[in-house]
Amino acid sequence: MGTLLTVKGLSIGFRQYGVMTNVIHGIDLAIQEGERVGIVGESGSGKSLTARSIIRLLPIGAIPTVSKLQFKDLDLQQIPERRMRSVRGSRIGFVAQNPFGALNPVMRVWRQFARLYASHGAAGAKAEWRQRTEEILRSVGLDEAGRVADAYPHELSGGMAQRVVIAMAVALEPELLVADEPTTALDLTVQKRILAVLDRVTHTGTRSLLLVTHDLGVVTELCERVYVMYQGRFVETGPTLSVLRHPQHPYTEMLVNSMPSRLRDIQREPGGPGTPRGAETMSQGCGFAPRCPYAFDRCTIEVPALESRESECLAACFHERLPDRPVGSAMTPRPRA
Amino acid sequence: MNAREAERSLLSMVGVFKTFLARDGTPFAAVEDLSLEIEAGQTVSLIGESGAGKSTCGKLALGLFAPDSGSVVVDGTEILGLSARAMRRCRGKLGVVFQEPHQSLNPRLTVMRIVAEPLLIHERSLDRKVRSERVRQALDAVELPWAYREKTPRQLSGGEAQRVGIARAIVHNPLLLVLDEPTSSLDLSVQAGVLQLLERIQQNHGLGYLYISHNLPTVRFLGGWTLIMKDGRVVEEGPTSTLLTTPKSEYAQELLGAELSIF
Repeated sequence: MGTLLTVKGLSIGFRQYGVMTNVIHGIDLAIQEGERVGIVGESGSGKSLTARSIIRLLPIGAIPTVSKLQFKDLDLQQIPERRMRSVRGSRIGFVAQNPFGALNPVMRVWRQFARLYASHGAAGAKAEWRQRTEEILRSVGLDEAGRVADAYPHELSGGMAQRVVIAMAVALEPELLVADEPTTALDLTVQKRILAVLDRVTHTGTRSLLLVTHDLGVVTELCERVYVMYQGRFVETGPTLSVLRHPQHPYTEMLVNSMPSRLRDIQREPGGPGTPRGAETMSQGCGFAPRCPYAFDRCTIEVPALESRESECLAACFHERLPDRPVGSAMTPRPRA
Repeated sequence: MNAREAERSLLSMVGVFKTFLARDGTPFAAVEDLSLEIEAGQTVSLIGESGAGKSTCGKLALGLFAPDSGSVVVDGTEILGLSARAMRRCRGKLGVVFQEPHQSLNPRLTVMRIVAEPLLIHERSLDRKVRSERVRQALDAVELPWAYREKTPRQLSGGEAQRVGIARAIVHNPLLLVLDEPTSSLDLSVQAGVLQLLERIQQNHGLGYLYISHNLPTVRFLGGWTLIMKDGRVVEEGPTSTLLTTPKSEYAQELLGAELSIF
């Protein structure tokens, strides 16, 4: 299998009062054909910006720079916006967190599909589009496809609406599906069904998935490989189970140990409510150093690069390697201020 | 805490019903036949999906809604039909922490003023110095530096704001806290700190908790007794550790089966 997407040296900044503030610091990312990749991290780490930069739908004011943004034969960095619009949907599908924000509230579902087909130059009669819509709705588990196709978004539950959005995202058979927190707004049992749908539409091996989530369980469920993001950098990457069960980076270790199921086993470290504000935005050194129990001098001066470890993982840490021990036995989560 | 105090019933709800009217006038049963009991130092959790009636239960316990029928007894006092004055006195025994830390704090007040608020209502006779000392103790309990008293909510991170919310909930030494999804809007590592904090406060002060959540791992962490709700009814209840490992009802099994783990 070849490489589907290559991102190299992606930085994203915002300009405020003439001063550029970078929030993503030169990250590299690659997705193979048919591969399902996750990005996990806490709020503000930059995972959504990273995902959105791939489809060039960044929020207003965000200024990206990238040295390479290659999607198979396409240089996404170079192609004009007109061309990009045809890529979105037909070659890269996108699913956002809030399905109701993604659907037009004053248009019946099937008409929104019809627009999608029409805007990508599909010929055909209304009846044909309507039938295709019902077929694809059935494929994401909406058995009453006819009723859903005729519905306005407000007549759907959150879970049904998210299925409609997923159906729309894969309607034109894109090679890559980008999903940004697709189940965060949903109830537990609904989440399970949506994950099953995402699994079904990506496990053929012909469609890749880039899943952004803060939920370690969700990424374990769907993705073979994961990137762990902290303050605009990938701090660790590798096979999902390997990364989460045998973390090589102190941040990953802290994240895993923050799961309520692990908290019991961990001795609480003193230190109050954590780092003082401002330390978070250190201009140099490893971003995690102020919260890291293993940090030493070098960590506050240089930024570590992703390097391979004994396991199949890459970790960005100067510390030789974390002591070999079962997850949950060592480090306490230090609250972030 | 001595043995007698441990058995002290802080909240007792028996056969509580609450119905709302939809816009078109059709009745909607939000809570049906709910009974629960919380003793000092004990945690009772309500879990279920959105619309199950969890938050309505919390508001019934706080006396913010009047039940259609049934009784709500707070520390020996039936709150149904209390005068406004008596209800206010009763609320002094209760504290509440909400889901969205920033939305539940007045953005124009300082942390000092926010945390002092319950004292200004329930202990009006306190002089300034004592009040400030009580605020200091509350901030201490949630592990926020004293210097934070001068900040406003806007200057706080989500975890800090939730700590301020907890400080406000405990400053007037209540007996029972209603915790309505207190960690759902927080990051994993921040949630960890808040959970540990809640546990420690309970150990130190012998508070009873009514913990409302859809997050099963946090419920498991806090332990105690758990009720699983669906469509306004309790479908199953039991000690948290056994209920969450060996559920009997079909719905409880479905709910627990949907939980994801990395192991």
